[in-house]
This record gives sequence, structure tokens and C-alpha cells, in this order.
Amino acid sequence: MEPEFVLIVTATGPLAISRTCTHLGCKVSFIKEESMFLCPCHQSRFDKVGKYISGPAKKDLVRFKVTSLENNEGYVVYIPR
Amino acid sequence: MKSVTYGQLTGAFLFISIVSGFVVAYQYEVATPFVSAVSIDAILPFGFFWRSVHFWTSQAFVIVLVAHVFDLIHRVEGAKAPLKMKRHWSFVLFCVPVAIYALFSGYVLRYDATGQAAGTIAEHLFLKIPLLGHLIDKLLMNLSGDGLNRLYPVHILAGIGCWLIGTWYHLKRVNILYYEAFVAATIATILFCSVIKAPLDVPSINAHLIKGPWFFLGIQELLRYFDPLVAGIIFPAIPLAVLMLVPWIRNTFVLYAVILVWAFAYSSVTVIAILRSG
Ligand code: FES
Repeated sequence: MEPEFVLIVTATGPLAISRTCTHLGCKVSFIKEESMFLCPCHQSRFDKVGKYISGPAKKDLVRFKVTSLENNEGYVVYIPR
Repeated sequence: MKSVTYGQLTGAFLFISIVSGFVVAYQYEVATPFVSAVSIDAILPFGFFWRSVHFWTSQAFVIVLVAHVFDLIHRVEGAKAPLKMKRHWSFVLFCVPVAIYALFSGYVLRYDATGQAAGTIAEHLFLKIPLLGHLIDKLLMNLSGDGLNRLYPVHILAGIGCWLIGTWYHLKRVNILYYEAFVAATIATILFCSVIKAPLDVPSINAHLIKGPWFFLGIQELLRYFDPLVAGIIFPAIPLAVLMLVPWIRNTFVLYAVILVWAFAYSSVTVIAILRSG
């Protein structure tokens, strides 16, 4: 978990999910016990891959492009500016 | 001893807030805002006292300013009030949103959990304003583009702007410190702030619930249910617009009814927000 995104490695590859809530921009938290993202500002909820569940946000969390480095050395996440 | 008015107290608290603002500003670094706020409390001799003075007198200034407005509203009502006074009223009321913005930006500048979330939400609300949103954000906030570099001078200018409008324009004099009010405000501040610290809400990467500044809680609650433009911009602007209209409308009963209903609605949602645990 990074300030800007959460990196999840799934069976189909790595996913970098933005932590910026699609409602008004607060940073969402990841709730391990429920395996979902929660926005602390107005309680929007998103599932573990960032799909919208409930709350005022209405849209899914953004996904950033992510590539794997050679020899399993890590990942590169591209955050658009 | 003469009785002290809300207007005199407004000036006294603003003065103390500005002076204490200069003291904490010496230790404040825009690039590391939260660390600055913590170090003011922890390292600076009497730092916690000065930050407390700045925080609480700013709160007191805004509260007493609002009381001052309602205390004198009867003077501009009706056909008898001089035209000049009516115009003055409608213009000088702009001090209220400026004062609230000065207070609000202070929360953002300490950049704790409350400040970060409140700043982000406010920036997104500005951007929802049709046509002028981007310009207003660039001028008043621009957190995402410029960190706190824009907000810091705006915070200082808003405080000093209130002082200038309150003295030079509103009272036509530079010295608005009335002895009794100033002594009363100073004693109350010293006693209160020696004991009560200014709050600081440590940021956490996994916060479940963040509550904004107390006067922003109602807006925060409304944003759960309504469009941001309605909940965050139009609804909070209603009382200001109505107050500006008071001198110009004959039937002030309707206006006061609107303010009363608004105040009841806003306090109700604020209470809901205070009680909320998730
Ligand atoms: S900012 Fe996330 S729900 Fe409002």
C-alpha cells in the first residue's frame, strides 16, 4: 500500500489501484477483514479490485498502468500527471 | 466598566489571532506542514500555547463575528435605514465567508488527517463550480498543483483582509481595539489556552472515518446524499445571500424564516455527523 495506490498481484498479473476516491478525492483505505476499499470521508466502498459497491462515489477506482521488471525485481507503476 | 459589544470582541479576537499567527508562522514550513505543526507543539518554547492561542482565538473570532452580524441586523431593516448603511451592510458581509475561509484554511495548513481530507474535498468542490471553478481553485487552493504554497499566503491575506475591511472600511479607523474588550479577550485566551491544546489529528494510511472541522461537518454529511455543487456550494451560500438581502426586502419575516429553517437543518445534519461512527 502506497500513498497514491495499492498494488495487488493477482493470478492474471499485477494491478495498481488508485487510492484517490472518485467522489471528492480523499484517500481510500484498504480494509483487510472485509477485503474492500473504504473512503474515510463519506464512506464510499469499493471491492478488492476497485469496483464501486456503495456510497456517493458512483464510479470505480482508477487503475494505473503497471509493468513487471525482469527477473521478478519488482514493478513499475505509471501515475499520470 | 462599560459593557463590551460583539463588534469590539470581534476586533479583539482577530487581533490576537493575527499576532499569534505571526508567532507560529516563524516555525511553519509549507513543505513539511504536519511536521511543522507537531514541532510547534513539541519543540518551540510555549509553542503549544501559541498554536492553541492561534487556533482558539480564530474560532472565537468567527463565532463572535456571526453574533455581531445578528446583533446589529435590526439596524438595516426597513425603509427607515439609510441607503448608505444598507449598501455598506451588503458589502461588508463578504467578511464572513472570508473569515470562514481563513479559519478553514488554517485546518488545511496544519495538514493532519482532518486538514488533508478537508483540503482535498474543498478543492474538488471548487472545481465543481461551473465556468469559474478552475480559476477559483487556482487562486484560492490549488492543492494538487502547488501543495500548500497557494493556500498559505491566501490564509494570511484572508486574516489581514478581514482586519483591513473591519478597520479601514467598516469603522473608518485603524485602531479598532477597545480597551475593555481587548482585556477581556486576552484574559479569557490566556486562561483557556494555557490549559487546552489546539487539536491535531495524526494522519493514518488506513483511516476508517475522518471528520472535518466542526463547521464543515454538516457539509460533509450532506455530501453523502447530494450533488457536490448543491451540498457544498449552493446550500452553504444560502444564509449569506439571505443576509445580504435583508436591507432590501420589505418582508423580512420570510428571510428570517429561511435562515431559521436553514440553521435548524444545518445543525441537525451536523449532529448526525458528530454522532456518526462509520
Ligand atoms: S471523497 Fe470518498 S466518498 Fe466522498
